[in-house]
Amino acid sequence: MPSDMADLTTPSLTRWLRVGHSGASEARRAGGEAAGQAIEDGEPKLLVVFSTDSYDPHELLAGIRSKAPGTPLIGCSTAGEIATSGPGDTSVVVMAMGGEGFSVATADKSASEGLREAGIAVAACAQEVRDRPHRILLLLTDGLAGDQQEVVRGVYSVVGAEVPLVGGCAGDDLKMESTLQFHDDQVMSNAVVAAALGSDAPLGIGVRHGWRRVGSPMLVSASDGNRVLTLDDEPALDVYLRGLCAPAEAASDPAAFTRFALTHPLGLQRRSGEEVRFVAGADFQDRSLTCVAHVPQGGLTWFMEGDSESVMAATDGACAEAVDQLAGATPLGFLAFDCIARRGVLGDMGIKQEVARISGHAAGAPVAGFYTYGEIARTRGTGGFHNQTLVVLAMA
Amino acid sequence: MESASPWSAQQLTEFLASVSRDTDEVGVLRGAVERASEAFEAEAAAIVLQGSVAASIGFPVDRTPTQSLLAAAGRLEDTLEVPGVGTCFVQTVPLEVGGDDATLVLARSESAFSREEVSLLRAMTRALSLMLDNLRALSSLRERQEVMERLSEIEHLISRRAPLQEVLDAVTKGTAEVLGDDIAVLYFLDEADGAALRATSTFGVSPRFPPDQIRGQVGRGALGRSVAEDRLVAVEDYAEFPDAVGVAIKSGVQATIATPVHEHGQVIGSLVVASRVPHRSYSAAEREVLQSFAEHASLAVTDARTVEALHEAVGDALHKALHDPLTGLSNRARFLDRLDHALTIRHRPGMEVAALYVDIDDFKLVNDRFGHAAGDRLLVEVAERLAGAVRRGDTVARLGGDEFAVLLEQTSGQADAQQSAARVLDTFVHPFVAAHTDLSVSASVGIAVAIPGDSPDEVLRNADVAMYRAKGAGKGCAVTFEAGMYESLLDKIELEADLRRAVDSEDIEVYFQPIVDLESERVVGVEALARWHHPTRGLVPPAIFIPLAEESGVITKLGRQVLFRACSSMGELHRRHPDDPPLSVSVNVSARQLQGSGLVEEVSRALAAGGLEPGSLVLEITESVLMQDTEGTLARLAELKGLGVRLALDDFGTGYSSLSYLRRFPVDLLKIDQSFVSAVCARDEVRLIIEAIITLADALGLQSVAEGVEELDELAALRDVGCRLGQGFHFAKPMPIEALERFLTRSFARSHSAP
Repeated sequence: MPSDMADLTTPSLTRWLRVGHSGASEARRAGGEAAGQAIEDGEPKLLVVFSTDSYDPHELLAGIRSKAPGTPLIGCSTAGEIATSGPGDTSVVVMAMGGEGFSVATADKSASEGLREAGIAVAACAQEVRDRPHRILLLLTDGLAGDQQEVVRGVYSVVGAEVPLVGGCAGDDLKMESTLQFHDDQVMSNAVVAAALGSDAPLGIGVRHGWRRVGSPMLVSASDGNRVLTLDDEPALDVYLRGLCAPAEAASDPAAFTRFALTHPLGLQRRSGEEVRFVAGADFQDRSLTCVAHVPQGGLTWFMEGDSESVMAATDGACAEAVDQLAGATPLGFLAFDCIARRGVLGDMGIKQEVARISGHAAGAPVAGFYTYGEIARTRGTGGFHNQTLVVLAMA
Repeated sequence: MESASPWSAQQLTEFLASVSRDTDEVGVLRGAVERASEAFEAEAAAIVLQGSVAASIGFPVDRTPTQSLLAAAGRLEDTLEVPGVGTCFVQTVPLEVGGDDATLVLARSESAFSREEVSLLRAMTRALSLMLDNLRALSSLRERQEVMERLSEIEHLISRRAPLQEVLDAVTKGTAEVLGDDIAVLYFLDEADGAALRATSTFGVSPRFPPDQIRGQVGRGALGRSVAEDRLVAVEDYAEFPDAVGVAIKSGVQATIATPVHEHGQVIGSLVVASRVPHRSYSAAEREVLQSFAEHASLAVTDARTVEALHEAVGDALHKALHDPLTGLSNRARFLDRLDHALTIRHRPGMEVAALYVDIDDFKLVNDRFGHAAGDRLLVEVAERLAGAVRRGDTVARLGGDEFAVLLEQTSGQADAQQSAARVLDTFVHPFVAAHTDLSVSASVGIAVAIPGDSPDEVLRNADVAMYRAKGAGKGCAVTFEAGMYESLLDKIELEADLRRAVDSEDIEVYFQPIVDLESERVVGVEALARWHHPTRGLVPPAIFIPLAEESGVITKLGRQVLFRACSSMGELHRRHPDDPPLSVSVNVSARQLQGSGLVEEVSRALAAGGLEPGSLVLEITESVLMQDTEGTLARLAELKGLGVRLALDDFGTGYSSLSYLRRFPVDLLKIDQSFVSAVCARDEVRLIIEAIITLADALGLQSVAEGVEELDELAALRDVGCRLGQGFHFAKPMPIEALERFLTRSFARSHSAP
C-alpha cells in the first residue's frame, strides 16, 4: 500500500498532510505501521485516528504514539475505515498533518453531564487557533448517547457562526453497543473530542446526502426525544415496517432490523429540504423507533430512499462543494465522514468505487475517513447534525 | 392573514414543544433564539430586552455585538454583520417578557424573510410570551416557596433558641442562595467603636478573609449608608458608584444591596449581598427578599437579647427562690435539696452526713424588747458567725424565723458532728451587737446523723427533735438525736395536749406534803404540789409534766389553779380546825407566772378567796428563775412581799446564783435541795455544805427547810447540823386534802399526847 507523499501536490511546504493505513492483526503493530506511514520523518502537529473497535485501543494508541509521542491526537472507533486506497474493516487509518501553516488545539469532554455542556467545553479550543485566517472545529462524538444536535448547539453557543463545524459520530461496526473516542493517550466512551484547526489556506466543507423522500408525509403524533412513539397515531414501528414492506425478520430480530433500517431513514421537514434521521433501532416491546437525534413531536416526516446512483451523485456533490470552497487552492487532503447507511446502499463493491471517486476529487491528495453513525457539518444556519450524509472536509 | 402552511404549523408545534422543556426564564429565552434560528435557517438570533441583550446565538460568546443588535431591534438597521458569515438580512418581531416589551431579532445570510415566515414568527413569539408569563408566575411561585421555606427554617431555629450564630449563619446562607448571589455578609455595629461595623456572619467569602477582618464604616459605601440612613441601599453598577469601597472593587463586586438590621427598633447593623456578575440588577421582589431575611436577623437578635435578659432575671429569681433574702443564706428548700443530694451521693466511705438544727433561745424576747429591726440585725449577725464556724463544703441555711440549720456533708460521725455543734454554740459566746447594745443570746442545737434510708425531711426533723430536747435541757446546749427521741417527742406533744386539756378541765389535783419540825416532828406547814392522774398513763410524774407545763405555757393556768386550790383548801381546813396551830402553805411559782403581770393580783385574790393571812402563804421560786431578768424579777418579788406573803428559794444549792442575790432578793426561806439531803450521810463535804447553808440562812435571818428527807439517818444528820425543818417521804408523802386532814388529826393528836 503506497503511502501518500506530501510533496506531490502542495504548493507550499509550510503545510503537509499524509495518511497511513494498516490492517495488521496485532493492534500495536497496526498502530505503529499506520502512524509510521503517515508521519514518515515529519513533525506532525495533529494525528487523526479512525480505527476498528476490534483492536485493543490502548495497544493501538501505544503503537501510534511510539511514532509521535507528544503529538496531539484525536480519533474514534468506526463502522468501517476509509483510506486513500480504499475502504476497510478491522484496520486503522492515521492522518498526520503538520507545518508552519497550521495551528492545532485539541480538547475532550465527557458527555455525562450533557451533550450541550460537552460541546460548550470543547468549543473553547477554537479560541487557540484564532491567529489563522481559516478555522474549522473537527468534532468526533459518541453517537449512541442522546440528541447529537445538542453538541452542535453547545459549540455554536460558544463560537457562533464564525467557526464551521465538521465531524462525525463514532461507530462500533453496527453493534450499537458502545463506541470509543481518543484524545492523546486517553480512551473514552460517551465523550466528545475536538480538534481546532487553523490554516493559512482555505478550508472547505461539502455536505450531501442523496436521499429523497417517498410517499406522503406522516405526522409524528407522539415522540419522546430521540424516540418516535407513534406515527399518525399508530405505533411507529408498525407503520414503519408496513410502509416500507420490511422483511419478516426485521420485525423481530434487532440485527436484521438495523440492517434494514440502515437504508431506510426518516426525513424531517425543514425550511429547505429534509433533515434525514437515521433509524438506529427499534423497541419491539413498545413498538417505537429510536433515532440518533431528536424527532420533534408534531412535525411531519417522510420515508426516505436512496440508491447507488443518488448516493454516488451525493458523493460527487459533496466533494465538489468542498473543493469549491478552497477557492482554487490545490487540495492537500480530504477527511470524509460517510454515513453507514450510504455504505449499506452501496454495498462493499460500491464503497470501493465511492472511495475511488473521493480520491479522484482529491486529485491524488490523501483521503482519510470512516463510516459513521452520524455526521456533523455546520456551514449554514444553525443546524449541523446530519444522517445518511457524506461530509467532506477539504484542506489546502 | 395568510394561512399557515404545513411547514409553518409544524415549525410552530416543534418550536413550542422544544421551548417548553426549559423551566427557567433564561433557558426559555436561549431555547427560543436557538429554535427560531434553526427553524428559519438563520445564522444568528437575539432577544433584546430593555436596552440589553437577554439571549443571543450565532456570535462568539464574548463578542456579542450589543449595539448592532440594539440598532436592529430598534429597526434602525435592516442588515447585520455576522462574523464568519457576512452581511445578513434582519427580521424583528415583538415579544413580551413578563410584561416588558422585547424584540426577537433574526439574521439570515441567504435571504430576507417572507411574509409567511414573518407570520409564523409572530405566532411563535406570541406563544412564547404566554409561556414566559406562565413561567414567571410559576417561578415566582417557586421562588416564593423557596424563600418561605428558608425563612421558616430560620424561624424554627429562633423559636427553639438555637445559638444566635447558627441563626445568623442561616440568614446569610439563605440570602445568598435564594438571590443567587456570590456573597452575603451580616454586619453589626462594633460595641467598642460605634462608627465601625464588623462582620458577624459571612457566606461565600473566601476563607482567606476571616469574619473578624471584614469591617465597614458607618456612612461609607452601600453598607455604611444603609446603617446611617436606616434604609435599603442598592448599587447596581458598582464601578460607577462614587462611594465604592476599595476592597469591594478589588474583589470584583459588580452590584450590591444593603438593608439595615434592627434590635428592638434600633439599627444595629446591616445585611449585605454582593454579586460579581455584570449587569446584575435587583428587582423589587429581590429587594423584598433581602428585607425579609434582614427582618429575620433582627428578630433573632432581639429575641436573643431578650432571652439573655430573661436568663439573668430567671437567674435572679432562681437565686431568690433558693436563698433567704435577709441573711443571704440558703433557704429551707435549698437546704433540703442539698441534704437530699448529700444523702444520695455519699462522698467517701466512712464519711457521714449530719444536720444541725440551731434555734436562737428566746428570740421573741429580743424582738419584743428591742424591735424587729434589731431582731433582723441579730439574725444577720448570727448568720455571719455560723457561716464562719463551719467547714467549707458545709452549708448553713436559715430555715425561717430564728431557726438555722447546718449541713455537715463530710463528717466522720457523731463525735465530729458534736464538735461542729460545739463550735456553733461557741459562736454565741460573744455578745452580738444589735440595737446599739451588746446582746447576749444563746442557741439550742440539735444534732442528727443520717442513717441509710433516712430521707432529708427525716434527718432535719430528727435534728429538730434533738434541738427541742436541748431546749428542754435548759437551752444553750446541744443534744444529739437518738433513736426514740422522735417518738418520745410525739409522746410529749400528746402528753402536752392532754395536760392542757386536764388543766382546762381542772382535772389537776393538788396534793399536800407536810413540812415538819425536825425536832418535834410536828407539822408546821404544807407544800402544795400538783398531781395529774392521766386517764391511760396513770399518775404522771411532776418531773415530767411540770416542765411540760412550763414549756407550753400552761403552767400559768396550772399554777393559778394550784395557788387557788391550795389557798382554798388550807383556808377551809383552818376553818374546820380552828384550834389547830396555823399552817403555812407553800405554793410553787414558775418563771412564767413571775413574769406575768397578773401574779400579784392572783395571789391577792387567792388569799382572799381562801381567807388566809398573807403571812401563811409561801411562794416557792427556784434559783434559776431569780437569775432571769433580775430587775424585773426583783420588782415583782417586792410587789409580792408587799402583799405580806413569804418567799422561799426552792432547790437551793443547785443553781448558780451568787450569794449576793440572797442579799438582794427579799427571800424568807431556803429549801435545801434533795440532792444534798440524800448525800448528807454519805459525803462529808455535803454535810459541811448543808451546815454552811444553815449557818448562812441563820445569819441572814432566813429559815431553811430540807427537802426529800427519806431516811432516818438523814434526819439524824440534819438535826445534827442544825436543820430545823424538813419534808420528805420519811415524814409523809404528798396527799390529797382529805388525807391531809386525817394525817393532821393524827399528828396533832399524837403531839398532844406526847409528854
